[in-house]
Amino acid sequence: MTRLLSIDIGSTYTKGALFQLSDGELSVVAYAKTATTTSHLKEGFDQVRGTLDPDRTAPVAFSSSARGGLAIAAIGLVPDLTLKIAKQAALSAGGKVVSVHAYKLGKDQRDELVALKPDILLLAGGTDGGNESFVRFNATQLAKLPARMVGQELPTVIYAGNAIIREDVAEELRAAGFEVAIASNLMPQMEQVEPDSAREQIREVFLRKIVHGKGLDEIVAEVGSEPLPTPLAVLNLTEALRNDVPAFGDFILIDMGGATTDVYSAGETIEQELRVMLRGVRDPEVKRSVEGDLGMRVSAGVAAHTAQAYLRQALGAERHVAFEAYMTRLASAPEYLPQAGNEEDAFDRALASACIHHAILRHAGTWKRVFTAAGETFLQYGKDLRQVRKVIGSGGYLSAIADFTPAEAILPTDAQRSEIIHLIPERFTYYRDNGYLLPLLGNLVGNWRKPAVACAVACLREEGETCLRVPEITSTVSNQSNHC
Amino acid sequence: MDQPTIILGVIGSDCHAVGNKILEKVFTLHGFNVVNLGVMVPQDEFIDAALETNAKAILVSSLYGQGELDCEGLRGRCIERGLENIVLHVGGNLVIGKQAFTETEARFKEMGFDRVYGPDTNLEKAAEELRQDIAARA
Ligand code: B12
Repeated sequence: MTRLLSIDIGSTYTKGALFQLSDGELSVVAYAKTATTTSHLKEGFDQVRGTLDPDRTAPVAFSSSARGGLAIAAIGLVPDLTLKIAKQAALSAGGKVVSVHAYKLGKDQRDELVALKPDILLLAGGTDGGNESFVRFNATQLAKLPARMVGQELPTVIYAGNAIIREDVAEELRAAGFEVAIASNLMPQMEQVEPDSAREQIREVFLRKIVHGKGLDEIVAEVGSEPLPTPLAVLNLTEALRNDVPAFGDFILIDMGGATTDVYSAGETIEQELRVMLRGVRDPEVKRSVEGDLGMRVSAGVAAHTAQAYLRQALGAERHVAFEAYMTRLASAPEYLPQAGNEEDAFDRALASACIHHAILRHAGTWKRVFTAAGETFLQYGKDLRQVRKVIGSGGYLSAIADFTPAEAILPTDAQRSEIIHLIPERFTYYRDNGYLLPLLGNLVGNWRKPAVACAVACLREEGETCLRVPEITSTVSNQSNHC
Repeated sequence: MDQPTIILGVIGSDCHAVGNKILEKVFTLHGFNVVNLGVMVPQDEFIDAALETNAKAILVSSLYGQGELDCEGLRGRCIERGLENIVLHVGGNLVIGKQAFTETEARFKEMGFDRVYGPDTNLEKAAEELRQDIAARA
């Protein structure tokens, strides 16, 4: 019998669980959480560790959400090609995309980069042997930045563009004072997507930049392992679940926090049908999206703004006014938790629905209807999630609230529906990570993959089935019925 | 690179797929690095692909009779988006009604295409002309 300790240092709370591994099976022995000690992370970490494992003998795996992840500026050439892939690579490495830039970097964009102070500049563009001029131009523009960032830590440049000019670009940027890491091209050939090398470079920068300072390096020295970015831990678990438990099927995982709403989907990009043409680069089989304007606390105000139309419709004009007042109160007290059953509790539900609504609709692919000489045809952008049958909820709010389900929240409104068709699940069973264990199990995937995945499946609580009345797609395309 | 990259595709909402496959084969055999975008390709996708791959030419096909409409403005869009020098060829069923081919050819050249081909084109010759046009632009 082995005991394992997993700890996640979040932006608000440091949480941990002590697991017991016997006969290849993991079970939770104890759970603990404390407020994150932002100035010295090791204090909160030690408190949780001390509570769960006073003798400090259990091996430790840990993650850190460190300021919501590394701030990454993604620079590509064409918005739908290398820029889109760069953004996706940054997100799938657990980063936070603070800005995106296509074509040539102008002065305004350089100003923006100076103001945003990203940790990483992910520079992409051009296939191998492809475009050089835009990429060289952008490298030269970036080389002007260090002169304007004197006295502050310079971002690390990760170059993941046209391989033919990588030495030139690296040399120019190093001469300008940047630290430059080289990754393989994100798109070595047209529409061939290879994010792994860039992801690995981002992870290494994470370790170098995040671990130093704030006490994380002391934790590393003591426990002998390095932290994962929290979102990467969740992504690793998602990928492992996808690969190791095929019977689980396609699924969506919503990890909703105070600051962001992250959506992970596991499933093939396309469901090829007659008269459907896939456009643009293919979404990865396991895809992560992060919505920085959708969250339950720190981002509640922005979310209320983003989702204004949805919330007004859901609450009615009169209650929407009271809701806005609640948002103002939350802004000054983000830790506030309403009592079950009162009006503020209902407002939190509406807000959660609104965040899920927008996060899922942004994540899912769409069909755009076009009429051709041969009749109706659809252009597909992104992933077709209609066949997904499981939706998992995790994160502080979703884990805690037993009688909340995303249900109808993921349906597009009539207005959103008029132009395009959203490829969302037609019906699904909702599962709740009621112990909020998924990020902690994600930490264990590296060394204890099989038991961690099995435990993740076991810890999901089935909360019931939802059948969405997705309006019939009136065409030859839809051959499956929406009735369940 | 001695294997120039070219972008190939059938423009607009045209879904005739057979000729496109033949063109891909023939031009690959003639030493081009062909990026084939397939059928139903919007103007911007030709340009996107050409930008990223540093393509020397775009070969547009149109078979279903709406070629003129679909091709209008492509040259301008190329220039606008940073492809000042790219070679543009078009081919397929471009003639509408009883028009003479020379008349159709003139219309497409006016739109900015460097060469215009009918359905019965000798593809060997077309590949040779493409090579010449690319060399002339270099
Ligand atoms: C098969 C076929 C279809 C199939 C296509 C199946 C598929 N997915 O491929 C289906 C039934 C779907 C179809 C539908 C339609 N079709 Co149709 N179809 C044909 C048909 C019989 C053969 C096409 C073919 O494969 N030819 C063989 C290939 C090898 O030749 P190709 O396509 O012409 O390509 C060669 C050359 O044109 C040239 N070339 C082409 N592009 C370029 C570019 C460059 C740079 C160069 C150098 C050369 C070059 O090289 C190619 C290779 O050798 C033709 C008639 C014909 N005999 O051509 C009609 C034809 C093309 N269709 C026609 C029409 C009108 C239609 C429809 C509008 C009919 C309708 N109302 O439903 C729809 C349009 C659908 C759409 N959205 O695109 C007309 C077009 C008339 C016009 N242009 O004025 C044709 C000519 C029939 C006719 N005589 O009326 N069609």
